[in-house]
Amino acid sequence: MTTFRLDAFAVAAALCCVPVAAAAQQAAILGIVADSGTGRPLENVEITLNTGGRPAYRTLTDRNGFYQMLGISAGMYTLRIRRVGYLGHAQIITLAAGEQRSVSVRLEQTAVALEAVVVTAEQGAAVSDLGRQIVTPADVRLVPVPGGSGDLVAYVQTLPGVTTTGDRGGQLFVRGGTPAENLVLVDGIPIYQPFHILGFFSVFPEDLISSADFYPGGFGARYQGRTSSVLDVRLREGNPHGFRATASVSPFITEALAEGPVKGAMLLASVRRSLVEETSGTLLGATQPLTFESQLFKLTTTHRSNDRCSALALRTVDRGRIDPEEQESQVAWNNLLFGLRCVTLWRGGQLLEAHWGYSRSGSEAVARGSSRLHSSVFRMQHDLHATGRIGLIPVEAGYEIYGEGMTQDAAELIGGQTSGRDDVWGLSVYAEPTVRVGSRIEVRPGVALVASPRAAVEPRLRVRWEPFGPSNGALQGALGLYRQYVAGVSDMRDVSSVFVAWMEAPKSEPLEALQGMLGWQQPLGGGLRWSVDGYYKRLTGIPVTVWSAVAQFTTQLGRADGRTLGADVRVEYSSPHFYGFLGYGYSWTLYEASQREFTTWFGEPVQSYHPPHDRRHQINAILSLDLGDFTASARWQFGSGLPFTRPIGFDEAFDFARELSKVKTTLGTTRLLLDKPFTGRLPLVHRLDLSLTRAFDVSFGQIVVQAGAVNAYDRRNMFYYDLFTGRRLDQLPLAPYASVTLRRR
Amino acid sequence: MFDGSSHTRNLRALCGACSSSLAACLCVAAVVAACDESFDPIAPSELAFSVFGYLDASADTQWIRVMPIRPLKVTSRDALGATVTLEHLGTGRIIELRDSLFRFSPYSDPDLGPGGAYVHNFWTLEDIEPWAAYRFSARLEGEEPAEAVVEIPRDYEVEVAINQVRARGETDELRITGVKHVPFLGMAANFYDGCELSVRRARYEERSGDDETLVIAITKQRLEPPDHCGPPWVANVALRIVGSEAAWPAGGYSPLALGESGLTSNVTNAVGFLGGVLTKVIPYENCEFQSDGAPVPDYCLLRYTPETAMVGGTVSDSHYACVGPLDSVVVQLTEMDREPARIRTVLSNRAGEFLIGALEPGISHFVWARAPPIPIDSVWVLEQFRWRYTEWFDLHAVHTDTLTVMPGQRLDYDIHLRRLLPCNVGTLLGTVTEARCGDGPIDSATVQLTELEVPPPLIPRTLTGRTDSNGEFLITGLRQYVHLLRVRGPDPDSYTERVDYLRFPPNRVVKKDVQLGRLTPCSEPPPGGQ
Repeated sequence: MTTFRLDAFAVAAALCCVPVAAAAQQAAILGIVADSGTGRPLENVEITLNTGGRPAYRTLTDRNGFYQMLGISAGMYTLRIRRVGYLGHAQIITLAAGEQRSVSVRLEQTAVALEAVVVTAEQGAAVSDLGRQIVTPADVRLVPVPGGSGDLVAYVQTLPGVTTTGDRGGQLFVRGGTPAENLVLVDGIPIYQPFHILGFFSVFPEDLISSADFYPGGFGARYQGRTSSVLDVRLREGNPHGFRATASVSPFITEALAEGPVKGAMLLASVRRSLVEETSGTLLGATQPLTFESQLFKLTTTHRSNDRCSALALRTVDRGRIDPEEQESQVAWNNLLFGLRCVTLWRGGQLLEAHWGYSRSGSEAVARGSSRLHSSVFRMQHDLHATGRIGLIPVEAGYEIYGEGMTQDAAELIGGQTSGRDDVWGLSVYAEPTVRVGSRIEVRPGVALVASPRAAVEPRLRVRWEPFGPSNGALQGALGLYRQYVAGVSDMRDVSSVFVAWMEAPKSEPLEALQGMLGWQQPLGGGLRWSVDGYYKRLTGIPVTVWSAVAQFTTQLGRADGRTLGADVRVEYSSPHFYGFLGYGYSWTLYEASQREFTTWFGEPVQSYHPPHDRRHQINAILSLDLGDFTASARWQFGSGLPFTRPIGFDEAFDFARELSKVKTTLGTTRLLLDKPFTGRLPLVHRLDLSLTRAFDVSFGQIVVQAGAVNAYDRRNMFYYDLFTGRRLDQLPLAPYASVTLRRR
Repeated sequence: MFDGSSHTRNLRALCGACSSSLAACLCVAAVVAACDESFDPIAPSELAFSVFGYLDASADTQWIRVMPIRPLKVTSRDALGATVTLEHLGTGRIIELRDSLFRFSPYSDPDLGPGGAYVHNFWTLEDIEPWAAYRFSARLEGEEPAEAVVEIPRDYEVEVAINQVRARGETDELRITGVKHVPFLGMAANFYDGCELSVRRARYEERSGDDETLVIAITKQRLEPPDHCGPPWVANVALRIVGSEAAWPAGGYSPLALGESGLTSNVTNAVGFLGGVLTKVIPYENCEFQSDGAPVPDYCLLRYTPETAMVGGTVSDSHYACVGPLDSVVVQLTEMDREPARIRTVLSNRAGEFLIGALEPGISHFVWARAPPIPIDSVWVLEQFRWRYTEWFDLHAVHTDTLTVMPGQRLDYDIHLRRLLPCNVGTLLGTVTEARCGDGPIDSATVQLTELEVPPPLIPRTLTGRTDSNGEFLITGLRQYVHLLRVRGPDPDSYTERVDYLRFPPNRVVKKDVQLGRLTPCSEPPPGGQ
């Protein structure tokens, strides 16, 4: 481990050409800030070194509660540590030249608990730090979900640039990318299909998450292997002081959570199961054959004050029919994940974070008239990330080694060699220093060296400029090259097909994305702020299903290149009793594919088209309001229509070379002739979700009662249109619900 | 979904504006909420028709399928309203084709849906002249016509020679000369192996050759006559040679590749293909067939012999609900009043077609046709043990008839085989016997089948049958749901009862023999005096 650290930092030093000697003249201070009650590291805590009553140095803690301030002139300072919801900490320290001081602090929570609508000043939907948006349980709670608690996926869906094809299927498209291009980590371990088949729910309910980092693009060198977005979720640790339990039930889901100390460790256990299949017949007028369940166990131990290790086991199962009326079709998937995560503050002042994990996912689908499609993928990985410094330069560096095995039997869907087994292994190292230019510019040039399956370099650059000083507006930009060596192939032609076949990227050519983005965020004071972000991506080697003039189940796999550009605009207001958010996302994605079939049909081998997830306009609004004892929440979403391939019509064809059939005795082969790919657009969609919540304190704890409605004005939003039968399938109709949650303290 | 009211049109226009203008959308969110815009997925197209068929100069009737390209899979029985003509480009003579509406039954193809499929086949009895060109035209009033020029090949003399090889695993060859382009060739080669059941059918491999000669390989590898029979010999060959003036597109016309006019369709303003052919049907009886082991020349020459007569037609299912061609039906013609009588045997092809040639005119022939028996999944149950095995069951009655052919005649003779069981439903048959005391078959035992898991609004049915004196029962008309089977003796108090779950795929016969145990002592006579 030590050897690695030296190597990685040497790489970073070579890259950055930093004058290390300067460090000897100046002091440094570092440490970990944690919750005094639970020992949980606190993220986004503001650390200032004040002199003469004014802050001279400022920084924030990272995801592990770690902070370091470098290049401090020798002298006496007041160290202030503050976070909303915690009592502040202040102490006077004197730093000598060349001294490195370690100050770790535990903050005590204030007596008044944060209310639901309070979002701290450093985070929110319109705040990001170098592309990273921090999502907390308080954020998640803002979005009405027909369950006992909020859900991370419901919140992420409200962010501009994040698209779903409907309320079934559990697929997220981020800024023109496909679901298989998203990296979702749970306590550092990748999970393949974390979103449940009913789109409101994921394996990340509000009560389980500690916080999550969401990068819609432009992520740093730490994250590799995916080209679209990163959702890095950290789960809560169990309560160390006593047993707590929560149980809730609603017509959509029932869940139970228990936590408490077990022989010095902290245990967190959760089970969830959907109820919508059982209740939808009564509630929605028609049975929605969608079921899912999940079980999670997490055990956390601490050694010394700042070392902690946690073990995680997670299992999920999803099963159902996307089209309730299609009796013969079914789709199912599952996840099984085991992970171990350890964090320690090394003696030299480096924070080390290591993961060991096993993640497996299997999925299968049966479509009408076809055999069963199957795909499974597993991944074993170990990675280590070190946060330290080289001279005055803070550096994050690390490595990852992994093996990924994929089996698939999808030949009936995607002809050719799509049955079999692919194995991919990989090794990568990365380094990302944080270079400050003056007090207002922060540059993070990163690089990842990937040794296998192919040797490659992935450079990344992130920049933040605060021209008017801290907390007074920031210009942020990112540029990077991203590669993905495994492909998650799904049938893009059919929006209801959520089956994903994992395989090595076709022809071992990775999917490649060159991303650039630029944004401005501006606080306006009084809890009001806005931000605007623009982005552009060039994609090469996207695996796509080959177009054909005639609708057919079995297709081939081809490759396309693509471009995505778009902009996100966000306005957010938060006060102790009111929260409002309005987001608009514009996205334009174009694929360009060269296929023989295009020549046959159109005379040109290359065709450009907008893929089926190209939602051009998207609006999301969230309101949350404290009304005395009640909390009211509303979410309105609007999306322009998604592309689909328009049919020309049906006829019966004869293959006279095979059989010189007589037209009077033979019907012929009924076929559906298709127009150019994805030239049509489905109707726009919009929906309003409402909820009203009240908590009652009782002797054993708390009872939280929630009533609400999904699709409150009963809009008929089309999910998809069956071209063969002329039947439209709509998304969920008006669905009133009530939930009860019991919390035992 | 399609609403023509002005109010809806206004809303629709507003919704359209919404999708293109964000500001407008925000302003009129309440109005947007009321938008329930119509949705028309069909892309506009200039393709007027789907046209398929071929003009055959040797046929007495020409048939061309002309269909609208329709928005839904279901077809309509509405009139097409198209004018379809053939213009002789040499003489200018115009032939108008007449429309006829055909219905394909859903019982022959369940995928067609309950209404079946209606198609428009245009036809004419006018002669099509060899070595001529015709312009096909299909026109709707006020619209651009769909057109194609079809060249009919000149008449040709074809020579066919066969090279027979004695060894079982070897390959025979047919060499065809005299025809320039053969877009389609059909062949049925029937073999004789010296045994009573003398018919085997070989497959032929893809043809190859140059402009002069077409070589067809007949493989016999799959011919496995019983040990006591001889090596297979080609007893007769029915060749259907379809010649055309121009080569059809390389690789053939795949239904999946047909496309826009000019690229993969030869009909303008339409999709499809219209060809011109001249068909020769060449029946052949091996000149060495009667040689009884005599040396065989390398090539035995076959000739088109119009002086002899032939019989051909289609074998189909007679049941009104199951109309469709029957494959692999043995059709046998036996000369009557002649000693020794010659027997000709052929098998119908996938289209149900058969052809028997080289018949002697004026002689009465006895016609015998039998469809291949279907396999029955049989289950034999004894206590807790179950054995599965396959039996064979005739689904159609044997057809018998007599006919006489005239010199040079090609007699059209369609055979309709009477179906013994209803169509597209499952059937359960078997026997009920007493096992404990060895009483044997049980008369008047009750066999009851109750449908389970029937989706609403269908109502579950219960069908009941009784065994005959042989203990046999047959219940047909079973739908493809899971059934609960209950078998009880004539006196429920005297026999054990058996319950099982079964599923019946359409057109399958399941045989299930059930054994009950007598509850009365074996020393007593069986209940009911059995």
